[in-house]
Parts: sequence; structure tokens; C-alpha cells
Amino acid sequence: MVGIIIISHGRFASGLLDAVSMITGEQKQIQAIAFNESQSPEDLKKNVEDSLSLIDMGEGVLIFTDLFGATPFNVAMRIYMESNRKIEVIAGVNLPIVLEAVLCREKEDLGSIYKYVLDVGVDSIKTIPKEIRKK
Amino acid sequence: MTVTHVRMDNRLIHGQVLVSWKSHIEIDHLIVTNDKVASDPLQITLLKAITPIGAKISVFSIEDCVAYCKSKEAENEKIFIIAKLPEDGFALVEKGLDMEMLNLGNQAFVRGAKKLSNTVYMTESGVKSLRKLHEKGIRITCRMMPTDPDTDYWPIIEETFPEWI
Repeated sequence: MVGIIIISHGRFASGLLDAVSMITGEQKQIQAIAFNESQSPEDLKKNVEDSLSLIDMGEGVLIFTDLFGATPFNVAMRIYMESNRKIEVIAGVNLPIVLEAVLCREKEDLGSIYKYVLDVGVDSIKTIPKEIRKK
Repeated sequence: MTVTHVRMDNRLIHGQVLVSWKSHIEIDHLIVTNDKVASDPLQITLLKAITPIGAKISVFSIEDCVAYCKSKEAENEKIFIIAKLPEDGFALVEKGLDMEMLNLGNQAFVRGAKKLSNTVYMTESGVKSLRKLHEKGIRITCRMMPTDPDTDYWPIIEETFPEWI
């Protein structure tokens, strides 16, 4: 099964994981990593690498980060470029995208999960439906 | 030359810079400068590829950064410089860059460093570099975010690390 790592500024990732568990029940091979204000990118990279070795069973890992171009994403990119593991990285994580990844990862491989959830994520930002919106 | 901001930040380009500083001041050209970073092709590729900002991105050695900022090309640009360490700030000035102010951004803990704030840890050599900059009349600030007060930080540094002054 594909592993999942969520990396965020502060405790957003662990909060997200908490929400995922509330909806889907306790999950395996999934970890949340917080990037704290006193940490260096090198410290964060080490945490992510430690987590990867725990979570990657050979089928690869999908890494979610909170913000494109920010340190959690930059660190994930660095690991993606240096590592021999199967890794995909998606920035701008939200609850729908993680839920989708959690639900489809038992049957699908990393390549197809990654493409599928990217579409789901982009499509998950919604507003008040037309039928309901006040005139 | 219009260097509008000089920041020392060991995270280089990251969320605070992209989101908060970018919306606070106009940036045409974001220059990352540090000799080690400028000699790491992987890091250069990363910095250039993943910066979602409507500005030019360059990664220069300290020497090339100063040369560029003094070039004709730089005259009409609003340049935001991000170096890694206080030592880089001093090197920039030594090589001839004019600056009125140097802002300390994130400085994570390294061996031998002591705490200045939750996000800034200073080494002895870093403090000595800042002292030399202070003596040249350069104002030292310590603002992670544009909303942080524009306080003159040198007296606080002096008071926190008397053993290194």
C-alpha cells in the first residue's frame, strides 16, 4: 500500500490527520509532520526522511505539503530529487484530497492515485450552490 | 540600484517571503545569495523552479550579487536580497554593496548558537559580523513578518550576547 506523509507549517498536518481519522477511522502508513518556527530546513528534511523509511513499504509515498514554494514543499522537492524511492508531491493540501488518497490507496498504485487525487483536490474547492444562493 | 530589502534567512525563499513580504513590498527581482548555495546546482534548480512569484529569481555568489546590483541592468529593478547568514550580509557590504538596513529573518539553531528569539539563534561569528555592520552605520532589524516592529535590534543583540561583543 502507498504511504502518505503530510507536512505543514505548525500543527495543520496533525489536525488534518485527526480529521481524516474522524471520518475514515484509524489509518496505517500515514504520518503528519510539523515544521516549527525554530527548525531548520535540514532538521525538517531529516524528520521527513525518517518518516519515509517507516512508511515506505516499497510501493512509494505520496507527500502532501501545505503551500507551494514554502519550506515543507521545498524540502519535499529536495528529497524527491535526491531519493531513489517512489515519491510524488502535491502542494496545497486539504481534507478532501487526503480523504480521497486514503480511500483509494489500497487498490491503486502511486502513479494513478497521484493523478486522480490531484483532480479531486482542484475540484474540491466549492461555494454556495446556484440553487441556494440568495438573489 | 534599488535594493529595497536585505534579509538573512537560512530558509532562503519560503512561505513568509512569498506570502507576507511579497504583498508588503514591491519585488521585481528576488536574489538569493550565498556562496555555498550558488555552487549547488540542485539547489539552484529548486529555487528557480518552485518560486511562484511574479518576479525574476536569481541565485548568485556574494561577489556576483554585488556586481549585479551595481550593474546597469539592476538600475530599474526593485531588488529583494535573501542571503543565508549574517556573515553573508557583512560579505556583501565588504564587496561594496550599499545598504542602509539588514533584516534578520529565520536563523535556525546550529551547534554553538545561542537564542535571540524563538526563530533566531546567533553564532559568535554571526554576532561579530552584525557588530561590524552596526559600526558601519547599518541598521539591524529582526522581522520575520512585515508586521513585526521595525525596531533597531542592535541594542538587544548587544544586551543578549555581551560575551561575544
